[in-house]
Amino acid sequence: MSYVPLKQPLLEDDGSFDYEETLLSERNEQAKHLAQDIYHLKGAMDDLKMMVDEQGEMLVQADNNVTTADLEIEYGVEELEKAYVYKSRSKKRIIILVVVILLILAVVIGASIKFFVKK
Amino acid sequence: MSEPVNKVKQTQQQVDDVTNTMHIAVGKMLDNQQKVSELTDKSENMKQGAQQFKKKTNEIKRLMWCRNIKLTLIIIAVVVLLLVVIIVPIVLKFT
Repeated sequence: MSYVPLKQPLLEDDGSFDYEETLLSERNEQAKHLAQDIYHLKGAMDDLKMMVDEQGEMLVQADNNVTTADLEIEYGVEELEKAYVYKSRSKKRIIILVVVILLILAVVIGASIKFFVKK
Repeated sequence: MSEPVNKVKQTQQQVDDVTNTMHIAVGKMLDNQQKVSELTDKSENMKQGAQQFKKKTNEIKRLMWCRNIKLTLIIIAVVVLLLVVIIVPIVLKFT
């Protein structure tokens, strides 16, 4: 009488324990897989951060280059404007020079005529 | 008993989704890295071109200024010559 009741609970416990053990093992493997994936995700995020920082520095440098180029081109345009002003003045002074030379020639010719008339 | 398993699977799926998104983002950042590198090189070339432009325009300005100064000096010399040509006969007449 006492032997039969002891046998049945053992069978029931074994079955329940096997199921729970399988469940825990599967859950453990899933948790490990999850942790591994999260670790890889962290690595990817670190790589992404490094690339973002690097590209940020490159973009800042490009922006500085563009700003410097803009300032220098503006300065160059101002230089060109000054050069144009000087060129205009040069043209005016060439005209003045021609006029003065003509005046000198006129005076010299006048003096020559007077000299010849006196002879 | 099934709810914790669903939570683990749900978290796993979320991590997979985030991983895929991260891979896509990393791919885009790699493409952007090449573009940013080209952009930096082009901006550097543009900066150097602007510097050369600045130098050339400065040289042109100096050239025009020198020409202007030369013409000014020539005009002064010619005007002095004109005055000399006019004044000398007058002085000769007086003497």
